[in-house]
Amino acid sequence: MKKVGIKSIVVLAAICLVTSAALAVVNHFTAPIITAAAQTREDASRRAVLPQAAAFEVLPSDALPETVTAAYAGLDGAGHVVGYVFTAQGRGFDGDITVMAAIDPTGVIVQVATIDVTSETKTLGGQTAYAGYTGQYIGQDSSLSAVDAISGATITSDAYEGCVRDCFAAFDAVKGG
Amino acid sequence: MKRSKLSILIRGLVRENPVLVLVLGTCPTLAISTSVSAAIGMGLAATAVLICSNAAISALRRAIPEQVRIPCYIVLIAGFVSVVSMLLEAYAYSLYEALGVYLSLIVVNCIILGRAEMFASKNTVLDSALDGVGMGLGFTLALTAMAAIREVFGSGSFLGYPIPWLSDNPISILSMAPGGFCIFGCMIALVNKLTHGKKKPQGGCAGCPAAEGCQGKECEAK
Repeated sequence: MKKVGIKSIVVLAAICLVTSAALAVVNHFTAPIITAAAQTREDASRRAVLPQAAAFEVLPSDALPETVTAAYAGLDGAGHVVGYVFTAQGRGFDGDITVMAAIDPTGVIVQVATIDVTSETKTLGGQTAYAGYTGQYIGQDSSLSAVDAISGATITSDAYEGCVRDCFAAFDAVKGG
Repeated sequence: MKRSKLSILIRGLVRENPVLVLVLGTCPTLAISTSVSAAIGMGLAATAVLICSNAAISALRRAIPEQVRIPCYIVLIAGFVSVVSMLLEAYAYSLYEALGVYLSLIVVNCIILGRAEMFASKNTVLDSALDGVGMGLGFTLALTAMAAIREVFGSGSFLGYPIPWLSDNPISILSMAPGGFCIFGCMIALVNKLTHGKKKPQGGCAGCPAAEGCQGKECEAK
């Protein structure tokens, strides 16, 4: 086998370095835009699950379960709490799923929204993105008794329910504290 | 065989269409051709990467030693795909979401590596860039044509807008893999008929669709 020449190694290393540098530059400019856009999308979806809220206040995350990535209190015009919005992540079929749940002060779900189930099979677990599935959660308390899994998508459905239960655990932590 | 600039550009569109004649890049073609808007987006993203990578590889063709050419090409192509991916995520999020994992898979799209190896490494920067434009547009054209058929008859919509009678009577199999393969085969047959007519397939360089790019050297070397 021919020995790999010094020139080959140098050229390959040089190309790798220049490419990495170029990527770092592009990332430097696009990363802030990406995080800001993601934040705007999250705010819009918070408003969609808790329409009664005029503003959102971020809650401290120390007492919350590990899977809950964000916790907000929804406030009306007068500053009273009209509900809580939690974002939880779970391990789905082929990746992580992200679910958002709005719970009113009495412990009843106002609305849930699917933030990200792109890792799931579109025709099975991916159906959790639609109102046909998420609508089941409206008005449910922490027992989630009326929620049916999607047949053929047990793993995704279980993960989704797990996320909502984690939101209830966070709700308890917030209320108790 | 010296070719005019215009013919380098035009041949990627039909005569040497990368998907339907050279049969490269079939994986993203079958996956993304269920919706016209995603198909156009994917085609344009791949075209952008193809032009940039062809130009870069052509510019560096004398500097890259033969031994490490594949790793070098892949690093360059992956770099361009990463840039396109970051720009899409920042400025065109809905397209980014629609393409999903297939955006990253542009790196291993055979069209890009294939043209780098077959053309860019042996021709000037301008010719390579033109080849990138032609091949990229050919890919986009093939993808869009397939997507138009599959979306209109398979889902009863076009660009997301439902079509009155068709949306109630979709031929669902067209949106799924088996239907995709059927449409793909029919389109290859159609293009074959349009470009070659009734001529019998010839052996050797005359019958190979990639003849203009390699100029006989690939087969001679074997």
